[in-house]
Amino acid sequence: MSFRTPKLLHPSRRQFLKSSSATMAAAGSMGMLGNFMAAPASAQEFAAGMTGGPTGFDGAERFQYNGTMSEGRAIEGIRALRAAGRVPERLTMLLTDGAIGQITRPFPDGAPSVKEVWERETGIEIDIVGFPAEDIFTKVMQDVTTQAGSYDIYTGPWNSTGDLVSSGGAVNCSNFVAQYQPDWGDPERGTPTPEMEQLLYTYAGDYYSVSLDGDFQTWFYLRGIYEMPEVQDAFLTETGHELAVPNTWEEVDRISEFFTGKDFGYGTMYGNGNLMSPFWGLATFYARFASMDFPNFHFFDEDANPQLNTELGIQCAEEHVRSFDWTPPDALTYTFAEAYDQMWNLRIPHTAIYTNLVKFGDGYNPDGTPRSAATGMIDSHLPVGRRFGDQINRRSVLYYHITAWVSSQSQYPEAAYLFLQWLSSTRTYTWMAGNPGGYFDPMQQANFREPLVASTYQQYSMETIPATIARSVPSINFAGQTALDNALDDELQAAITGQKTPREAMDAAQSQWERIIRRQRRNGIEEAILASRETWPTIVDEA
Amino acid sequence: MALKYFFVLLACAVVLYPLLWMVTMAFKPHPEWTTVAGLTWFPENPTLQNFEFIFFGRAEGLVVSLDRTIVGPLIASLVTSIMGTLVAVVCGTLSSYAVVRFGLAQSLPLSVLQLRLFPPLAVMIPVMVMWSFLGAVDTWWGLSLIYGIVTLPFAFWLMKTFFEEVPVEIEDAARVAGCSYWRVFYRITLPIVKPGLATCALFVFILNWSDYLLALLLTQRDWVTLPVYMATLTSAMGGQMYGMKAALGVIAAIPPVIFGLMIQKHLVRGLTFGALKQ
Amino acid sequence: MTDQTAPEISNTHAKAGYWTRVARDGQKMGFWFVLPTLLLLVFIVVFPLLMQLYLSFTWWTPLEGIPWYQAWEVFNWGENYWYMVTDPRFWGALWRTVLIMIVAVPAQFFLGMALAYLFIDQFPGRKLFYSIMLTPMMIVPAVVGLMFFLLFQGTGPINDHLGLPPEFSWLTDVNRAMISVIIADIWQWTPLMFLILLAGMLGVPSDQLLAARLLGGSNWQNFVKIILPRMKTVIIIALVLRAVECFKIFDLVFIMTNGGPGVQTETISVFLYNQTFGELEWAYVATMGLSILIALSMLAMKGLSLMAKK
Repeated sequence: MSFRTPKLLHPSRRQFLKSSSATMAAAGSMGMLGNFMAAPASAQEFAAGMTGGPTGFDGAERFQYNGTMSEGRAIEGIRALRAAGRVPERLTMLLTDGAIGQITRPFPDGAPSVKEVWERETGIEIDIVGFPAEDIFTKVMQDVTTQAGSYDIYTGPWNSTGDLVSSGGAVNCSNFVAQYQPDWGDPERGTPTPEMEQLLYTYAGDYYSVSLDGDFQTWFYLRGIYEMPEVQDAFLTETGHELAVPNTWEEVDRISEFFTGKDFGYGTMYGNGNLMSPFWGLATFYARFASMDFPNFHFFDEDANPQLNTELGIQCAEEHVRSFDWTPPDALTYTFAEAYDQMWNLRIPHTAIYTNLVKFGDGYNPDGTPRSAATGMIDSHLPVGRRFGDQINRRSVLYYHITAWVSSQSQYPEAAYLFLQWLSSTRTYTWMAGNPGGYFDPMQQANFREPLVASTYQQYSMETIPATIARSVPSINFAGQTALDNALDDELQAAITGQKTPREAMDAAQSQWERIIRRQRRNGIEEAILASRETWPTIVDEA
Repeated sequence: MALKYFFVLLACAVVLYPLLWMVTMAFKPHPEWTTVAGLTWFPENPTLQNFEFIFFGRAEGLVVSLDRTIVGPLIASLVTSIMGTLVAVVCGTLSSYAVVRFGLAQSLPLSVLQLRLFPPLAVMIPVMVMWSFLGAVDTWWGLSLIYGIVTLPFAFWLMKTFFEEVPVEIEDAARVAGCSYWRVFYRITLPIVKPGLATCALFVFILNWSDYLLALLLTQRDWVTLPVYMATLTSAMGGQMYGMKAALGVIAAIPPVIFGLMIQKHLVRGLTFGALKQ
Repeated sequence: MTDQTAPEISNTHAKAGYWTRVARDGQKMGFWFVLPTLLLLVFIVVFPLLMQLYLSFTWWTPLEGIPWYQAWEVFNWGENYWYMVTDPRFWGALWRTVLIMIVAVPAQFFLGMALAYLFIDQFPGRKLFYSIMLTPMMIVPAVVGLMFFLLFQGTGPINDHLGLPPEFSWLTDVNRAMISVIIADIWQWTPLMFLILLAGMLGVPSDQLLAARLLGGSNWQNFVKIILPRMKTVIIIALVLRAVECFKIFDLVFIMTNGGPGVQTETISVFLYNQTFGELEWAYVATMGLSILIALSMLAMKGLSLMAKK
């Protein structure tokens, strides 16, 4: 923990008791009786017409709801279920460990935590089991395949929805969605487009996944350093160009090369802050790949053949591998957390990464200390692309993106779904997205209009992120995804570490992908590939 | 002689070096976890923070918190290792006695040995299917059962050598005096091999306690054991939690080292399936 | 260490004649004694083998949407076996496993032999040093993985001693990752070799040693001419034990490098694990598992018959 981390909530005594009594489940649940009753005392604090939601802080009314709203419908749904005796005492949720704080930590001052509000209003306890983000889907598949049934709710990368659905591990929630009408696709408050709602919440036409994140890789840079006169001068002398916010990958690489090894008073810098490590680095590669052609360079052509070892694919791999020269040492071991740290300590000038980089590293702590050395210096810019005539195809990528599914082994799928609807509806989610206790990122339209979100994600992100979302291509998200991603990832790592030339690596990855597609052909992988191609954005910008 | 001491001390230093780093790491506050601020072999500001953290899920001065503490995994490790040991020792003792004394199932020794030959992962798919069919995944008895099975070869062979050392004349004498076979086994032979039995139990316990893979595959939440818990103890918010992991490592390492040193004399016999005695 | 007459090779069948007589009487009880073990063996061997054989001829994965016992619906006429034979990742993993084996096991052997030689005579402090030398093999392998993970960090003590910058990475470097894993394995298992070989050395009758010394050979000559030949069985046992265990290596690698960077330290066990829960190719894993079982069994039988001949 060489970098500053947000102060996560100290778990309550209850939580300690709970985990220590894993063997004594009965004792654990007895401790929960205290929460069972709704608390009418707080009802009078609700704004006029509202029946539920957080209370106790300025602006709480923005997150309150009544029966006509998505959250309210979920709560009423639970009450109806309770009357019918179909609610559990607790719901167990397998959650990426860094996100726990957002549900369990009160925010802002005076507020209850998200978990407390839910438990107060429904009497259903939420038991969260944390697991590291990279491996969580392994854990999910283990639970599915061994029928352990340890969880009511799984979370994991959005990309894996296809694998989970094919394995029968996720509940089809279409009926619940029809009955309880979540506001995910609300034209005012939800996803920017109906297509985006489809992409994030459905698979093969049915509702399975509930989005709890905004993992559209977004560009951040150190404006504070870019604007230093000596940096400007040095850049101009060395490269013959003005140092400005980049629009293309070429400009990005130029900046990366320039900063590597330079010291502008903050220690030696490295140029490339993008993720290059196994698993996480795929996003960087996919983003670069998508903009290789106009308006898009798809991972697969119209006949569902991989395009990895085409000329453009190889060129992309070469650029990707070359950019590794400018990364900090040990970059291959970084998860996003270590990568954030590079920017917070001013070791890299720019990076395309998850948006909570800002949440944890810009701005000030409650005690007035800056969150990191980079506080006040960070800014963001649009995704970069390539110039085609007078147009630029700016592309980012949707990758990872914490997503929740109702486990098909849950005894109470409807209650689990209702919790997820409540959690992901635009009011609760906006409130939660502002919470600096974890890494669920904003992505709904309502999120970006919310001062609390702006205060944690900074004003500059409020325009960049939606613009990035509109220009993001989905990474692989159909059954067989894990196999495809792993095969490419291994070859990319081989190229980065110099055991293979980029061309050899792409050839090998291509043949691996072809093998996998051949193997999965029976399962309709080709149709899935073609369907995925349809979801790519075609928006381009003036140069 | 001086040269000899030099080499012996050198070897001991090499042995102790990684251990020392982990043990002292467990008592270091986080600035000392890496050598960025200079290498410290012994904590400059010794702290129990790391232990406090893994036992209570939080600690003074640390900014991250845990959703689960070490207590559950510790209990799980203890229960499953002990129960697994029980299964292996009981089955191993009975069957090896039958093989040694009654000449039954002469192919058993070799077939049992074969169990140890294969990488567990090469048979894990059927095992997981069976365990899930039995509803044994993430239960104490499911994990104990597989522990019992995989350590059975050791228990069997170890007990076999101990039984072979019991002079048959004693048993015969008792039998002549009218004791039943069960009585002879229970009243005469077992007491004689009692030290062997204890050795065998400790040995098998160490093996069970050391397992990582089986628990990784067959537990989910309630019965996650220490090594698995240790390996997943990361937080993307907090980076690698070296100090806490080291503290966990120390706790996990203590029982087998103590037990191992206790049965030093019989280690060779145990590890070579009784082929060698010391 | 007090019993200087050992080690001996245990001999089960020496008095077989006498015991078959006794066996008749005790057989009934013996049957009940053997039963639990037999049941466990059947339970863990028969069904899994049959199931693996069955699955290995299908496409079945958990993504298939049908339970495993209906896998015949996706029968594929042994295509998995062809897939395995042509899978570079499988052969790569196998090669790396063998590589660890052929580097680490001999290293452990020679180091263990040298150490055992140091400990053959009494000297003050021998007991303490002996106990210290044994500790590594008693530590949970996962913890050993953690220990070396900590040591080999860019900002860890090893780089600091060697005066290397934090950029000099071990666990993420193509070649050094493998070296790190091998070093950890050697560290943990040299004591086992030491223990077994020392027991073997101490088992060489001391009068023979004494005689050799009186004849005036150097220590080294005595060692090579008198001790080594008499340790043949012990050496074989030690090598076989380690080689078998080394082939299964998982915990250490999984925790230190997770098979990375790329697949640079992916051993066969790690590969099987990744295929099981990452790629979810269960039928393929069954194919590989079964093939490995068969190959190892054949090797073991071959080895046993060779031993029997001698």
